[in-house]
Amino acid sequence: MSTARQQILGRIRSGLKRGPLTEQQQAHLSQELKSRKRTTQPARAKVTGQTALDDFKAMAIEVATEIVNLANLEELPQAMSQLMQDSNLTQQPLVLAKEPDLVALNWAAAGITTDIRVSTKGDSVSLTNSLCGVAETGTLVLRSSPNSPTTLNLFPDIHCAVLHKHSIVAGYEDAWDWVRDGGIPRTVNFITGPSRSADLEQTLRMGAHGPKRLVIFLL
Amino acid sequence: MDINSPDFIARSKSALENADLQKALTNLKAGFPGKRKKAMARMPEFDTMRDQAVEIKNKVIENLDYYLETFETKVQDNGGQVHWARNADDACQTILGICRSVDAKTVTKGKSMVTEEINLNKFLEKHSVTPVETDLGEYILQLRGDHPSHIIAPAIHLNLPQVSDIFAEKHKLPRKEDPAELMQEARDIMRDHFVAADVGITGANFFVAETGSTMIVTNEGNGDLTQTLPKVHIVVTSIEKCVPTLEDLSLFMRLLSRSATGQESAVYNTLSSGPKQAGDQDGPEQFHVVLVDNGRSSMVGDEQQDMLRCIRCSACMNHCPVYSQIGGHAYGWVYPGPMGAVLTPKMIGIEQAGHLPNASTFCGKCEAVCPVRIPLPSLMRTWRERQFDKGQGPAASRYGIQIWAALAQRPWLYHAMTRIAIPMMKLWSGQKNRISSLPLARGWTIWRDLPAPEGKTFMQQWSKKNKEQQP
Repeated sequence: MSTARQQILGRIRSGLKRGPLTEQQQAHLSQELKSRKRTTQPARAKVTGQTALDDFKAMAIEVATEIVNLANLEELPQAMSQLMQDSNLTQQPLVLAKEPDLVALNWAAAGITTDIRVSTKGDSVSLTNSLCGVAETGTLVLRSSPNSPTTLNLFPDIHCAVLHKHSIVAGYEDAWDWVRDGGIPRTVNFITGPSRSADLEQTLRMGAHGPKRLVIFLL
Repeated sequence: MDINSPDFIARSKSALENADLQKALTNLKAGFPGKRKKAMARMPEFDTMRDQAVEIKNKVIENLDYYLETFETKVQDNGGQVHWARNADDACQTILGICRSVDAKTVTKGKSMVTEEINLNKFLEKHSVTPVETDLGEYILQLRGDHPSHIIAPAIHLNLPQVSDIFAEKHKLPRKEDPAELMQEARDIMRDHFVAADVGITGANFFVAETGSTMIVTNEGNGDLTQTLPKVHIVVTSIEKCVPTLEDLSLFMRLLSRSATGQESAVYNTLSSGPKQAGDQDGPEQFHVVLVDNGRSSMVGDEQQDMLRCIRCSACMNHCPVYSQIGGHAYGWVYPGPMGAVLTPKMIGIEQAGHLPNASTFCGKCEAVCPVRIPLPSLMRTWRERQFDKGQGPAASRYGIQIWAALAQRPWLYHAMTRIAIPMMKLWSGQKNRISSLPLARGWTIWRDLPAPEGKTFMQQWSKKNKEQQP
C-alpha cells in the first residue's frame, strides 16, 4: 500500500469523521453496485417497437448520420459499391472487420477489394458490425473485440456500420445491459454522428479527427 | 499553468479593452446558453434527473474511500493499474515514470483540465518528453504558447484570423482562411502524431466503480485516437469524478452534453476498461489510471464539499455575466467562471485567489443552470467570509463592511443615519435629482448617475402607515 494512497484515503475518512466502513456497510454498497438499479429514465428512453425505430432514425439523422435501408445482408456489397462510387473511392480498398457474416459476402462481385485488418492513416472507408443502437439519441454502440478493432470506428474518412432493427434499444441503460452480457470489453464506443468540432469561433463544423461521415446500413 | 490570479483586476481591465477578445466572447453569448435552453425544452424530466444526480454524487462523496478502493480493484482485475497522486508533483512524477518505462519520446494528449492543473506539459518538456495536444482548440493554443480560457471550449478567446496566422507560421504552409481547410490541415498533421506517439494521455469525465472503467466525452474523436493507437494509455483524472454504476453513468451522460453544449449527446462517449484483451488487434498494451487528489480530499466534510459534485460542464461560466465580459484568462489560473471562483482558492490558496469569489454579482444564474445544483453563490460567499476573518482584502471594503455591520446591529443608529443621509443626498443632487459624483462611490458614478432618493425613508413611511391604520 503506497503512502499516497494511505494519505488520500485517510484524509477522506477524517473529513467524513469516521474510519473505514464496516463489513456490513461495504456489503450493502457492494450489493448496490451489482443491482443494476436504474435512475428515473426519461420517457424517450423507454420507447418500444416502431416508436423506438422511428426515434432512432430521427435522432440519428438530426446529427448527420446517414441511414441506408437494406432488405437483407446480401444487398450490402451492392449498396457499398454505390456509396464508394458516389464518393469517388472505387480505387480504394474497403477496410473490413473480421466479422464472419461480413467476410462471407460476395464483395468481388460488387467490384470491391476488401482489406481485413486494423485501420491506419490514409484509410478512406471501413465497415463494421455494431452491438446495438440507442433510440433516445440515435446513438450507435460498438464493442471492441478480435473481430471488431476500435481503429475501424475512428480512423477512416467514412465509417459504415451494419445495424439490425431488432438491435435497437430504447435507452443507454439497455445498451449497457447488452454490453455487460457479453463481458466488458477494452472499449465501448457510443457514437452519435460523425466527428465535429466547435473550436473555430464556436461554430460546429463537421470532420474533425474522427470519420467525416457515419453511414448506418439498417437491416 | 502559472498562477496569475492575484492580478485579476488588471487582467479584467485589459480584457475589457481587448477588441479581439470582446469580439470572440460575443460567440459565447450567442451560442451555448441558447442551445442548452433548447435541449432542456426537449427533456421534461431534466429537473428530476438533476435531483437524482445530486443524490448520487452526495452518496459517492460520503463513501468515497469505498468507491475508490473498489474502482482500483476492478481496474486491476481488468489488467490495468491505478496510481494515487496527492498533488501535482506526485502525478507528474508518476506519469513521467510510465513514459520512461517505455522509453517514450512523444505523447499525444486528449483534452484534460486536470493535466493543466498539474502543469503536465511543462514538466514533460523539461524531461525531454514531447507532449502533443490533439484537441483542435488545445492544439491551436499549444502552437501559440497559450492556455485554455474555458474548460470545454479552450480556444474560445480566439478569432479565425489568429488561427490562420499561427497555422501558417508553424506549419510553414500557405495561409488558409476557410475554417474547413484549417480543420483539414490540423487533421492531416495530427494523424502523423497519433501514429507516432508512444503514450496516449487522456482525462476522464467519469470513472465507474462497478466496472473499473473510465469514460471520455468528446466531439472530435481525438481522445479516442489518442487512447487507441499508442501502446500505453494513461488516464489522468481526479478522485471526485467517480460514479458507482453504468446506470448512474447513463444519468450523467444525459446531463453533461445538454448542460455543456446543448447537444442531445456528444459524438463520442467512450468507455475504456483495461488494456487490450486476448485476440484484440488494436488498443493499448498498458492501461494506467492516475487518481489525482490535489486538495480535493480536504474538501470532504468541509464547507466547500458540494463543489465535489461538479462535472465540469461549463454551464455556470457560459451563463455568467462576469465571465462573458472578461473571458477566462482574467481569472488567472486553470478554472475560470463561478466554478473556478470556488475551486481555485482551494487549490492555490485564498491569499492568491481572493479576487475570484468577489468577482460575482450573485445574480444566481450559475446555480440555476448547474446540473448538480451546486450552490455556487453561497460557496463564493463562504470564501468572502473566510477572507474577512483572515483580515484579507482591500482596507476600504473591510472598513466599509465593519461600519455597515456596526450600523446594521444598531437599528436606532441606522434609522438616524438614513434620516440624515436622504435629505443630504437630495441636496447634493441639485435640480436634476440625479447624483453624478459621490465620495467613495466613484466606481459606480463614473459610468452612470445615481437617482437621488425622494421623500422619506422606508421605516418612516412604514411607521406612518401603521399609525394611520390603527383605530
